Amino acid sequence: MQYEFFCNNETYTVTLEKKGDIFEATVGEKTYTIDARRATDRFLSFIVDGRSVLAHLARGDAGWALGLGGRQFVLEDPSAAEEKSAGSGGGGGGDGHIATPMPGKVVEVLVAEGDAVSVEQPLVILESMKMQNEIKSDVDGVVSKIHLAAGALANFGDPLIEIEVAEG
Amino acid sequence: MNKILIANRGEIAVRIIHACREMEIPAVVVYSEADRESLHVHLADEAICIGPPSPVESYLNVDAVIAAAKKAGADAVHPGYGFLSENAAFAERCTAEGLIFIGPPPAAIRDMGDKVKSRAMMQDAAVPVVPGTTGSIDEMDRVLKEAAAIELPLFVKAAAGGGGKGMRLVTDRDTLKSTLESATREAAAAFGDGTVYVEKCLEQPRHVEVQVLADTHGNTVHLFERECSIQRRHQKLVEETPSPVLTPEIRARMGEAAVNAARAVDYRSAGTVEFLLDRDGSFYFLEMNTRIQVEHPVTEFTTGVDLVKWQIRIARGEALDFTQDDLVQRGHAIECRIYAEDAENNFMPSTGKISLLKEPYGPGVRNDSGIYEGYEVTPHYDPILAKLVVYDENREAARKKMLTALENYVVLGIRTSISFLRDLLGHEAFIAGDTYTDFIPKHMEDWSDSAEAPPDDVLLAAALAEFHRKPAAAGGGSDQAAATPWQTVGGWEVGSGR
Repeated sequence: MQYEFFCNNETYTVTLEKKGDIFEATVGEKTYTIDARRATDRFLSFIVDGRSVLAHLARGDAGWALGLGGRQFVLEDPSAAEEKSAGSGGGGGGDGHIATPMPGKVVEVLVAEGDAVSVEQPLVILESMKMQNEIKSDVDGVVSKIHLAAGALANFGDPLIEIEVAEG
Repeated sequence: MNKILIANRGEIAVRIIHACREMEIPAVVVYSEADRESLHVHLADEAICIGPPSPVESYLNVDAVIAAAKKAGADAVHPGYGFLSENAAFAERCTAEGLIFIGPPPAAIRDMGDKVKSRAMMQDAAVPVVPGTTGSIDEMDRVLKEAAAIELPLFVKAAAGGGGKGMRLVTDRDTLKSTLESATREAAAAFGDGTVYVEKCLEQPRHVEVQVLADTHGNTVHLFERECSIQRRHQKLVEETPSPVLTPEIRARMGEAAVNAARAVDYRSAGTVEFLLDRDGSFYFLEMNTRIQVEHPVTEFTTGVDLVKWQIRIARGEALDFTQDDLVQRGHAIECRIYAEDAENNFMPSTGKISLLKEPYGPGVRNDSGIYEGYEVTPHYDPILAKLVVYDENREAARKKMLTALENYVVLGIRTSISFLRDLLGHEAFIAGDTYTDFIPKHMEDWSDSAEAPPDDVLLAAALAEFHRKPAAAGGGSDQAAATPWQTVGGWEVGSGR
């Protein structure tokens, strides 16, 4: 079996072959012999080349969150990686569709429809957990639509502002 | 005292519930509509919803809190920290409604809340304050004369300023006059009040605070210091006691100053006097926090005194059953605050469902938590999730215990400060006790957790997890919009939330 994971903008490939009670695995050039018998949907304990490894994990919609050795890792499915690279075209690295990066309350909208804006220009102040955060433009262009006004509560991913991307 | 209403949420509400349970006093909590499934609601004896998620409409709503106390038949209110805890009007209202406010008298809250007044009161009580002068620009000669007695460098600050606004550094005495003049003009334009003052600028100060307890029988004691220099955005991240630098002589003087400060405002209950400690060992009164502090557990570990239970005992009229001489500082305790935030991305808040939680335990490990597995962290309140506190014989043993405990603390589904804290406690400057208030910008500025490739063990674990994944789960979701295993992407870059 071959598995692909997307982590920190890199794709990693792991192959796994079950041989009786043990697995033979490869990561890149390296091969490993793994004794893995204990697995639940919360944790895995396995012995790899004599070392005992304990990992905690949780499955998200498109990958794994994994805690190991006091660190946390996010290993996304390759489909998530494709989605990301597909979304990053266009001038300034964005497409002018500004969504809320996290739930919060719209404190102030700093632009009006028809305003010309540039990359990195603050558009909206969003408050979350008592902190105010600037949501910036990802493109040069003209504000074509403002979806949420000051005082509105925004959920994660709600459309906030549409910007018509400037030509050229 | 027959029933206590806890006017708070999160880990501190849970901490107070524990104290109530141990004292066999029923605990009523209030909660907002966003907190129905919060841990404090699950653990309390009674729970009353007091309004919408917005703090102003719920936890800060005095009428709603008082009404809840009446409805539940509570006869005392514990405000915790934050929210209404340092609101003198709320404390007065409790008394007027026949409720015992578990905290200091309203006058003490009011006096300490007024920075100009408290500074004058402290000077009268022989508590050292940062050397400085006050006066309008009309009295330039007097201001300059008084300023001449203060060591360089100096700050010229606007009385109406704050947060660094209207603040000028003076390193050359010859420029003081012109700086005062321009600062006055600037302050008048910016704040409508041209009053400025001169204050000694402390270079690389430490933030050291002293815990006090005062009862209604005239007993006031201090429970030694806490070193709280490691901060980000003026919020503490790591606290410890004893301070790695306090000598017994300075500790004794600082403790005495704290007791004097408390006595000057007729303090009762638990309180904390904050000082700035200069490199030469001089210390200066900063402010008094008239409530229980987030970091109170480190003092509880090293003194063996339960501060929250004593708040309750003092409020019901009990006298302290120990004296200053009975108190001994023993061993070393460290606290790390577990925040829902992304340390890699300017400590931006992180919300979402906690998909997995494994909390550390062991001898000398205490975890004051307000979360559980499956709990949804909302954007409405402070990002503190829990406080991990450890205790051991000395600082280095406590540091290693903390590192081990952090390693065994797993929170998945949201981003937390855990891995940042691990690297911070492993930093050579922390090991050396070089804990100044500029620690994070100085030593951790470019910290990153995700720059390196994941170790092979991580990839192997993920592959094994995929192998064991239930076929039903493996089949679904492939055609859905890709959401990451973090409920929200940690980054704040625009458009990432599509």
